[in-house]
Amino acid sequence: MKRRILFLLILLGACLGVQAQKGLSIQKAFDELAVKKNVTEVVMGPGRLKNYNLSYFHSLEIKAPTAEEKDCIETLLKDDAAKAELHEETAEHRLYELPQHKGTHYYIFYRHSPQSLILIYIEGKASLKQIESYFRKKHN
Amino acid sequence: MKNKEFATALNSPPEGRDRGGLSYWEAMAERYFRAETTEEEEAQLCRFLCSSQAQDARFDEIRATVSFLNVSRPKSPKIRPYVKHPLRAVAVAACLCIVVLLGWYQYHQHNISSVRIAGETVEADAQQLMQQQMAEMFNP
Repeated sequence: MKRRILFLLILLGACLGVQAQKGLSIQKAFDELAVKKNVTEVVMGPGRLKNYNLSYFHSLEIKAPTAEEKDCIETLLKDDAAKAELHEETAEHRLYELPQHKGTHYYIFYRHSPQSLILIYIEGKASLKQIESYFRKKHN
Repeated sequence: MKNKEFATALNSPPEGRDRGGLSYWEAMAERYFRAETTEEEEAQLCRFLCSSQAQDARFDEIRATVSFLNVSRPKSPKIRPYVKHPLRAVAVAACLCIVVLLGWYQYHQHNISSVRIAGETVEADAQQLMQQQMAEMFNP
């Protein structure tokens, strides 16, 4: 019986392990803002991201964001920025790289303009340079 | 006297006269081996074989046979339950259900590719949206 319980606990642990961005403050933004009318949410798992060497992609795009929405996300971002190893911040753009775990990188991207606000959370083995080069190459 | 009656009379010990004598039981033992004894006689024979009177080498064979058959014959037919431990079976079934659900969840998470607008899942190319959003991050 003990073995079975242990087995179940391991399975549950594995299950919880796939709960991406849990423990980050921006999770709240994904949970609460995704249901709003002007919001598009994109979620992709590792099966769809093989070509990018990524394992998880989660984004929120808010069309014509209100000041309240913008403030909400920026407040949450500040919390996560405190944990980040790499910061790139401009008035409209932010990038945070969170501490790696077992070779997996965790990134948060944020971009704001009056027309739209984009918040992206990414997990994967790809380095920031690889991601950047890939998307620049593709769309330039 | 008919043949059958004659044979019975010949094989049966004389009622009353020699009953209780060893020859009576010897004859009954022979009839037992020929499968001619009734259930009542067999019961009597068993009781006799347990008595001190029966501790004679002549009855060794019948004693061994009766003992063996009594020991090897089940007293009542045992009905083996289809499920020995119902609670254990339920626990195993529950474990299997959890494993299947977790497997399904993992598979779903691995291959997830969803686009939701205002909380409603819509048919859209998640990969294209991802590329557009990432491009905006790197190509302002």
